[in-house]
Amino acid sequence: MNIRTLLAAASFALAGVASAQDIVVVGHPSAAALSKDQVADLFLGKSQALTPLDLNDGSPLYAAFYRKATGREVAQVKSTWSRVVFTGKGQPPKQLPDAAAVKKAVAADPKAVGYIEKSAVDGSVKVLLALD
Amino acid sequence: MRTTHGLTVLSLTLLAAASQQALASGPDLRVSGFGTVGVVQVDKPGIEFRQVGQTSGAGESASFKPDSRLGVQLDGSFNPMFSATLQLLAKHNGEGNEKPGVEWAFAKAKLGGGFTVRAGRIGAPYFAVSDFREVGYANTWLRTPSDVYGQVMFRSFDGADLLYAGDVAGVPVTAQLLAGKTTLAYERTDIDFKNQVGVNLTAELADGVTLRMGHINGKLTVQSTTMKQLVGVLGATPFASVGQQIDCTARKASFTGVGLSLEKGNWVGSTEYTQRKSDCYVPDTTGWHVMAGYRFGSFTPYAVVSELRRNDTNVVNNIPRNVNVQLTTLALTVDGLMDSLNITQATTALGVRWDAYRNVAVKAQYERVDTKGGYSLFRNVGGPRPADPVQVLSLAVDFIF
Repeated sequence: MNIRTLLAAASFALAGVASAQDIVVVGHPSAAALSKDQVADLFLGKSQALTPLDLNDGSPLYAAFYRKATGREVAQVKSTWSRVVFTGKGQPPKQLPDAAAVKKAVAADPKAVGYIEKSAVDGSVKVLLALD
Repeated sequence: MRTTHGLTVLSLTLLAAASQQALASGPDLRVSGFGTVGVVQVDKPGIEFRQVGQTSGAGESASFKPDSRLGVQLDGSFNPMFSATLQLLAKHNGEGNEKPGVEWAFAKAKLGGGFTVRAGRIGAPYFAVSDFREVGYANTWLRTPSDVYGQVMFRSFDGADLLYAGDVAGVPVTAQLLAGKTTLAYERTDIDFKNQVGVNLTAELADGVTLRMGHINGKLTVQSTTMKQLVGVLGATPFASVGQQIDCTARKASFTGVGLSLEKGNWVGSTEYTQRKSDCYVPDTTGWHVMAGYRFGSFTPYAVVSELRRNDTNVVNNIPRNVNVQLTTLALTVDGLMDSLNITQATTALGVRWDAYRNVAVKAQYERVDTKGGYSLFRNVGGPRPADPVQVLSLAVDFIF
């Protein structure tokens, strides 16, 4: 109970830090811009048009991204994906450890879409949508 | 269960092929799982709460049997077109054990244009939440309401289906056409549902609002020796027609449902209206539910109101009770059979889901079941007919991995 309370407090604190940051959805330099609805559909398994990539689900940016892009909390996102997975319809996005890994992956694949802090953007990727 | 073994071998072969492919071209084999540790208790003596078909359940002393389960799913992708899925599920089943069974084992091919075909053992779309009804974590409620989901125990079919997903006039829709058969044990009695054909349609009418309609029909056979003996005995009397009405051997049966689900902001809700029909002693029933919940942070309290009604016994017992002892005995036997199939009941359930951790939900649910003077879906294990509504208390921890 104490550990859980601490974890919850820590994750709230970290989420607070992250939500103060700007998050951008990034893709291959040749990719077209995306609307918020398109991003939400990709990251909730409703659309298979592109390949979404996640950050680690324990990271504060993960929670902040889903809150901003889909309006859903982590538990709702997990529940939504469990419905997709356990109906045999698809698999959740692969989880990458950090912004560098996301940039590397989307720079190498024109169909890949990820999200990173705005401050991590460089010339290897294109901002497809800014979330704030 | 020869088919089960055949399917296991087939699916393991497919997955082995898939994993070899995965080793050659990258990690395309995924393992996921789900489970529930749940405990249930009722407040009346000599009756048991069970999930449909189970051989034992929860009485006045709490039991883990009705709700506890563990599922593991393997998804293998050969290439962008072909994939295969195997899902194994262990739970207290209709054969009286907890041996893992092959829940699904199918190969899937994307045909393009929004069309997909699958073949093997596939989840059967009887209900709004058919596919993930065993995945507690994916649902707000502790379990699917028995008044609706207790009407059909089948969860899959062996056969093939054609799926379509696309937009019709700007509305995202899915359509499924299926054909197949299945056999499953109900309290150690095998029940076959063959020559199945079905259709399932969904339409996302607005963001978070989904309409669902489905129909499945086929030929139902209850492999019950007592049922066959009764039909045989009645056949030798002038009341053979009563036996014919009871006899459940390759008789037409169908299940039809319409439902609406809602997920908007902090609100979750759903409603379903379903009808079961048969041309034998399995009674015609109507089941419906209305559910609503509201999320407060990590807590989601919810309420479910539901009802199951027997519309028709499908058997007219016109055997006279005052001619001779033999006929009277037969008349009373048929009456007893009909009485045991009177599953009319109404339920009010209150519960709460607590998203305790990222992949873990803890739930508590209280139900008050009005059995309308009978045992309804509760199994009689030597207790009196409940005079007052039965109270059912359940706790569960759902997880995914």
